[in-house]
Amino acid sequence: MERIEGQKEWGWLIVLYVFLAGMGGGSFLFSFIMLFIDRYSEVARIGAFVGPLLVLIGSALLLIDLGSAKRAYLLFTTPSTVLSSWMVRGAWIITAFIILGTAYALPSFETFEGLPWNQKSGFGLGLGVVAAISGLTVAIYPGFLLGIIKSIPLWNTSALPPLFFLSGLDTGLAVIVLIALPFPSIGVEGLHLLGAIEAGLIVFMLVALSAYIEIVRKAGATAALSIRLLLNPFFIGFVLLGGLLMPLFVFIWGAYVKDPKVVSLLHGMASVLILAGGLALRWSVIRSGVRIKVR
Amino acid sequence: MGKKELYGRIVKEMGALRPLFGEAPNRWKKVDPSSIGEKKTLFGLCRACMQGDCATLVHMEDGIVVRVEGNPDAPPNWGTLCPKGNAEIMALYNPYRIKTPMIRTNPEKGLDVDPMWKEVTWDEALDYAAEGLRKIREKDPRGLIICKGWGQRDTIMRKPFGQAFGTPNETGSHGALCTVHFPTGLVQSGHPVAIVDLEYCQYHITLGRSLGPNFSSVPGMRRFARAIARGMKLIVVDPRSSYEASKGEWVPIRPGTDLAFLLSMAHVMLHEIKVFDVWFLKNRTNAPYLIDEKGEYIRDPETKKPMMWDTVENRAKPYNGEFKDIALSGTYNIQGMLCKTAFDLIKEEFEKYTPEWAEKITTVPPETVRRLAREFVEHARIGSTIEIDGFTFPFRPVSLNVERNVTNRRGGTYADLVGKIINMLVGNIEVPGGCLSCGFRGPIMGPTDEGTTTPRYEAVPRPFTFPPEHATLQEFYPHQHTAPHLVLNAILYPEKCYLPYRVEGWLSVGGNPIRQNAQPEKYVEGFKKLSFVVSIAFHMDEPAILSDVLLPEHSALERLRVASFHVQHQSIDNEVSGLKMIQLREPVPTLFNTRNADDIFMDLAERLGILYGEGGLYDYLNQDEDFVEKSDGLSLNGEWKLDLNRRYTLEEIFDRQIKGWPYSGGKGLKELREKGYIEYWKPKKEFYLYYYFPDNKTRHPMYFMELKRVGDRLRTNLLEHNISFPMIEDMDYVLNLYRPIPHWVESSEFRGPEEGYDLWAINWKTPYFACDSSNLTGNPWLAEVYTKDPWESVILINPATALRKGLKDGQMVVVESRYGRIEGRLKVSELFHPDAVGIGGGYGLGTCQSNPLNRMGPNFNALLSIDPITYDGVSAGQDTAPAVRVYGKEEAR
Amino acid sequence: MVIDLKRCAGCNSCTIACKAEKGTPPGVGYHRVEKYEVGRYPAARMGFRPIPCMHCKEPACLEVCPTGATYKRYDGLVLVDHNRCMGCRYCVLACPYGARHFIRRIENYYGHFGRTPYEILKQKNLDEGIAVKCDFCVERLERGRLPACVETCPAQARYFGDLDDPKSEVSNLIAKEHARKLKEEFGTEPSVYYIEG
Repeated sequence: MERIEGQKEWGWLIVLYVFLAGMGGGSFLFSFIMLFIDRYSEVARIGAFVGPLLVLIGSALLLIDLGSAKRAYLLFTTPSTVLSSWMVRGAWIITAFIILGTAYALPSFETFEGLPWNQKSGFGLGLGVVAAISGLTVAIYPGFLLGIIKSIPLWNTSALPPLFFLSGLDTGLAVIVLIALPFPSIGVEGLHLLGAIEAGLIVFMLVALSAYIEIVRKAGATAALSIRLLLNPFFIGFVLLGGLLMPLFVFIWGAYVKDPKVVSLLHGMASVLILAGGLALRWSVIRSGVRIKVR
Repeated sequence: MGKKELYGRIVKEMGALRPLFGEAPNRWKKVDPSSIGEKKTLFGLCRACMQGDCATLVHMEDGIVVRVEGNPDAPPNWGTLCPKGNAEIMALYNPYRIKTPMIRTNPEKGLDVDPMWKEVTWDEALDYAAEGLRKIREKDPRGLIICKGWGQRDTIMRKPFGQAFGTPNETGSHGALCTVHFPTGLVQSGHPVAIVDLEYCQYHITLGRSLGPNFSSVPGMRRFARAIARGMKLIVVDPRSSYEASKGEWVPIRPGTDLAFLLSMAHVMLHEIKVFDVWFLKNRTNAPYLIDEKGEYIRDPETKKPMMWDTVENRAKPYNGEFKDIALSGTYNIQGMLCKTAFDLIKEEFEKYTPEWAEKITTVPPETVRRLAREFVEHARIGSTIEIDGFTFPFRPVSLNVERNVTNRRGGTYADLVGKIINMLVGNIEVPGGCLSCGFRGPIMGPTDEGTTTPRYEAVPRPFTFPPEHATLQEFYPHQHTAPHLVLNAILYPEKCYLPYRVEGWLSVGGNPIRQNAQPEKYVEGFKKLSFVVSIAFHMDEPAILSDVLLPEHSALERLRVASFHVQHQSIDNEVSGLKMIQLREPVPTLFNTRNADDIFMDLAERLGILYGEGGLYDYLNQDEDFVEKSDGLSLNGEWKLDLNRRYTLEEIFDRQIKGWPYSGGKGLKELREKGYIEYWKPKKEFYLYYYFPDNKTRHPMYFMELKRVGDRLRTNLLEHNISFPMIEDMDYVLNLYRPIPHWVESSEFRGPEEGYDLWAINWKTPYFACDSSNLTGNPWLAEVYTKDPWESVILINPATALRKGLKDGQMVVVESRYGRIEGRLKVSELFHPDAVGIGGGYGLGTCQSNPLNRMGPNFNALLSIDPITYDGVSAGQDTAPAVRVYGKEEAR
Repeated sequence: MVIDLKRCAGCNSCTIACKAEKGTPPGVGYHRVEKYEVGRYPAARMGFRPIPCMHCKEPACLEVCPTGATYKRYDGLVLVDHNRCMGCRYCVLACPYGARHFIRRIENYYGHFGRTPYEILKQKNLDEGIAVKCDFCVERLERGRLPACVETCPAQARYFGDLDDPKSEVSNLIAKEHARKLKEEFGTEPSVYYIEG
């Protein structure tokens, strides 16, 4: 009997990065939409700033994780690798997102009001659209980063990018909810709306997650082993129960509560749970990545 | 905690020992400044296993060894090298070596007791050692044991030192678990063992031995791989599906029951197949000799020669007369006595050993025995011949060979002898394709005055004296191999061993019976009884930490060495058959305050006053002859003998040995340095001993009269002194093993299950551990590999057995024999017979100051016994498959 | 390279020769031998598979390498330029053969005793924080010698030569013995072929 072991090459820092990238991309996306349709702008302008910030932190972690960070500049000086390596693509996209996203977000803050564009100006909107697209990509991209690694069947599946993307939206929205809590302007209604969207996302997530597990389970011996490794009490507890089912329950419950304080409390709790679940999901998937046997 | 984690932890724990060894790197001698920037290559000679004959190149840069690799241009390995040889650098740059002479200050001894070493100068250490040895010598020189072993096989002075000192007690720690020599010395006049001719062999049955892969013996593996590639059929009868078995057909057998298998195979050949090499049996064995009712040869009244029956003239004649036709079978009335041929007697004895009988003992299905016997006979191509160098040989491309895991138990010698009978039935002894001895090649198989091959090497019985002269008790075990276990009995129970003196001192040079023999706790007890222990030591192994003084020696790479090439123990083919060669090892610069063991011997001898003059070390060195290669080996010949009154350097002595070597053509050490070896190829035909005594010029014994004779003499002597064998009540327990026809006997472990010991533990050499030369288990490169190897340093049992005992893969278990108990991690494996508990290599034990890696893993040998009831009474080999029980550690009482 | 598993007896000479040739630190090796069991008792036997870098025609490691540190030489050798590697370990994960290692820290074999003179000398060009792998002993090849694992193999189970030359020994062997490549479904087109045992 051989012991099943997940890969050990990529650890906590990468997990955090993948988590933050999804969350950052997701929260920017929602913020952009909210700003675009001009609702809850107070919350959204912060969200639009927090998104790139989260990705920036993630990227910093990524940098720390490198063995020879001093050579990281080579990412941008070796254009030929853009054709092959998802990591380079990711680097460009992330950089673009951080710059564009920040540029889009900044004019809504007093200090930067002097900038020659704002979120309503054509240029600003353009920035926003491009940043939103890159944010979308940033949220999806970790799925591809892992997904093209054929030697790890748990990752090497088309079911992974959607899962990570949905989780990105899910956690991104949770961030928005958390940002919104101190703002009375969001109102019970707003919270209910966000909660409803979250609940929807969670349902999608549940579907995507089941699909993911089922698809991988049938993808061969090593894949099945990985799933066995993945479905441990930690995963069930933090991802499935804590990260999805409990928040779903809370959001549904919250929809019937009218007291803003209680709603805020419930939604806050649920969002924290979602964030923890999102992180646990990345951790589980990354650390359960069993390499295929060579022979 | 898995094996890998444990290894990691041990590497970390090594740090705890640092104060003891100092800041090791700082104490390594600085490289010679002149070598900075210099790149050079030295000729090396590997010493990572007992064979020690692989030619290497030692590459140096800036005075540092950067690579040891096979020498692509030189035999016998032509550039190939095993993992042990490739890892030799780490044995050199090893901070656990003993780096300077040391004297004990703590009188309390134990493997885990700090001796409180005091570092001293070489002069102080040598004076101290010489003084201690002098005291012993003055009292009784026989009181000193000199113990060699695989840790040091490069010295040429050890034996002469012992002779000059006056002790007959020079023995090896390594041999008692490998008593494989007697039958080949008896039947083929050869040493050390019988091997297979892989140049031609088509069908090979091997038991209890390795053709090379098991311990990654390079020449063995080269030939093995070639033979398999050309399609030789290989049958491996073994409790374990070994490296070899994995390339051939595995016939699983219950551990320790090979004798029964061999008897049943012989039965099938004699009673069912009945196809023999009749010409060979009649003309080249004593099978047709006529035997009387007492088991003695019928002799010609005039010439006293044994007789055979001429079926045409219908009368018995001395074997060397002219025969029209020789009777192989029949009962005849001669000299008023009913006589039978030896062949008939053997056949009668073997009649009861049916495969069905054997199956109950061996678990081998009868149809398998029958098939193997049939295939063996079919492949023998009886009657065929082959011409080599213009000489016509019988051609028999089959061979059956056995070794230590067959021979090391009561009845083991019989098992080897039955193997010889099986081979003789198809006439494959010492002919191309067949079963060959692997020592000196020359006219050694000549007949005695009874017409049978002259017993040589360990088949020559040592004389009986009472009280015994030897602490090895060779008087009682006249065909013994090395005997540390008997020495230990003599130390612990001198009265029971009838020893007229006391063993007082021990000089270790590469020998380590504590780890490499049995019952380590008893050895420690024995060591504690000694008044003075000296170790010429490489690392802090078990004898070293029990020593009074340590004389640190060079690592293998640092030792100058000139050696003659021996035929390897695993097999032979044309790649090296007929090769006469001497090989050189140029030493690398030393790292510590160490010396060559031979220089230490000369210094000690000089201080003891036994170096010079007649009866001195040099005198004995002059007389010394290579034990195996005889005149073809290196010795001091003719004009090159040493002047007994002056001191020589080791280089001078080697130079003289080379110049006196019969094939050196006058070359010396200087010329040897040119390419690292001097070779001489003899014609291939001269490799086969048949060549020297063809046709009916000699006869291999099939009826083992010599064995009977030695047994009869032993009985007479014991009765005369009214004693039995030491610590054996019933002398017939041993004397039953001296019959002229092998028969079934039970080993001491056979009835283990009746006492609740329902499995048998087995051991084998592994690719990373051949014989503890260069402290292989402490080599971190090898450790990194063996800790990942699924079958190393674990306890292996068949899944069905594990299930039956409720044991789980990965759990800690206890293996307990009647003599010792070890613990280890369980691994279930389909590669093992359900009655076997597999524990490979030589892991475990170690000392509080040794490399922690030496303490890791199960120490198989701790399950073995020094009790004489576990020996084969002929070879004194201990049982290597002890009956054991296995249980989970939490159930430990 | 062709590895004849009929001959291979799993001794790991290749692994240690590689270690000695390259002076790789603990936990880092450019070569390994996978050992496993085949079949059930009493038909069980040992199986071995030596695994060097496959020097693929379509290397997965090269594909993912973001900095161009991994490159393919004119003769097909897949090499790592240590000066370009930023240590992201993407290649280590991507290689289907587990042939790559990341040197996080250069440890020494005798633990706290410090590095041996051999290690100090051999590792002077080795960096921490980079990915490393088998280079088929490129500096030996340039001296006209074969890779260390090939020369040292006591079973003479390894062959090295030019796969592009249809008349080479390796090409002949591959054709004659129907040698196969590992994980062909990955599309990496390895240059190491196995004659199955």
